[in-house]
Amino acid sequence: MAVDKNMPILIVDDYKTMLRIVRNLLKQLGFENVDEATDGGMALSKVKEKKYGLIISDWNMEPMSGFELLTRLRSEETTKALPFIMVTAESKTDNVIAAKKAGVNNYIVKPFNADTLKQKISAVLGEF
Amino acid sequence: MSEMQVQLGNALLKALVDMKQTKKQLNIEDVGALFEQMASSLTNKESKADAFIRQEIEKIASHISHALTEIAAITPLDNEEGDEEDNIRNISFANAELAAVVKATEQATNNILDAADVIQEKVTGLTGDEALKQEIVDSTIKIYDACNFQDITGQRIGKVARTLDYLDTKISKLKRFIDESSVENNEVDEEFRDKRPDAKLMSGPQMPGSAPSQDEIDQLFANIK
Repeated sequence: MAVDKNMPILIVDDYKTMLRIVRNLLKQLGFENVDEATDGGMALSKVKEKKYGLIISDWNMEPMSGFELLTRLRSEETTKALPFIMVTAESKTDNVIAAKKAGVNNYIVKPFNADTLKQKISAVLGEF
Repeated sequence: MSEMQVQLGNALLKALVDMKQTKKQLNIEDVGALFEQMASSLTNKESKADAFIRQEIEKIASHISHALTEIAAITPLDNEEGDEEDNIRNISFANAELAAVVKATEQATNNILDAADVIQEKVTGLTGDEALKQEIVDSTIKIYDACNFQDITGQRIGKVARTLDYLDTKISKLKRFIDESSVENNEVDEEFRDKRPDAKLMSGPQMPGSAPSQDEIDQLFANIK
């Protein structure tokens, strides 16, 4: 099934510069319907208001981390299958395992490049 | 354990209890002095084991004395009224410097990204060699890729700042524990003074806000006769 490039994507990171970088990389990949949140709490509010096709989230954020956002989403019937990619510098094995067990669809370690982002989105949503 | 060792242990314990009852609190130099006193009280008739213990006690006393001098040489960490040179050695000041590094790199990164945005925008509006246009766009994507560094360096510097905070807390506790009057400043051995190559250098770059602007410098410069 072809990936709908108009689907809304939510990117979550407490570094505004990272939001900008991810947004631009997504734009280069053809995804322009992108919203931003600066922590898990703000992301949860946005998810309640809008149906997103993909969430790309950082792990380390205050007050609500990306991991907590993931577990909250997975505990709700309406969002338990929402595609979720974790983008983080947390590359410890235990963290990756924990995220996987919590239901993350893919995991990108910072720093990353456009090719990596494309590969991971393809792996989650299908080739585009 | 020899009889002498047992006696030594008992005597040490009794002396510590007596001192605690008399002074209400024990400080580290009292304990050090006690060790020195006990070491010197041992006679020449001691066994090899006792001699070893005496030597160890002397070493402990020496280490305590050494540590006291070293700690006394540390510049006060909560020096609010110190001049800028004092502040250089203040851990809070170091943390502020690190925060300024993060801020400056973030600003620089955004400037780079602004420039990449402009290039992307301009190249989109151009007509002509499509391969060249794509090459330029690909290069701007590489700029975006490279700017990932800012997030990583920010997190790493944050970790260093937290480590400094931890050390600051521990050293402050240690300094409070030691009665500072016991080691006068003039007793601080030259060996322990700050000998970093940049210890006496200027403290620049100054923190944003406390630094004069270029306009202020220009005005000052113009007013100097």
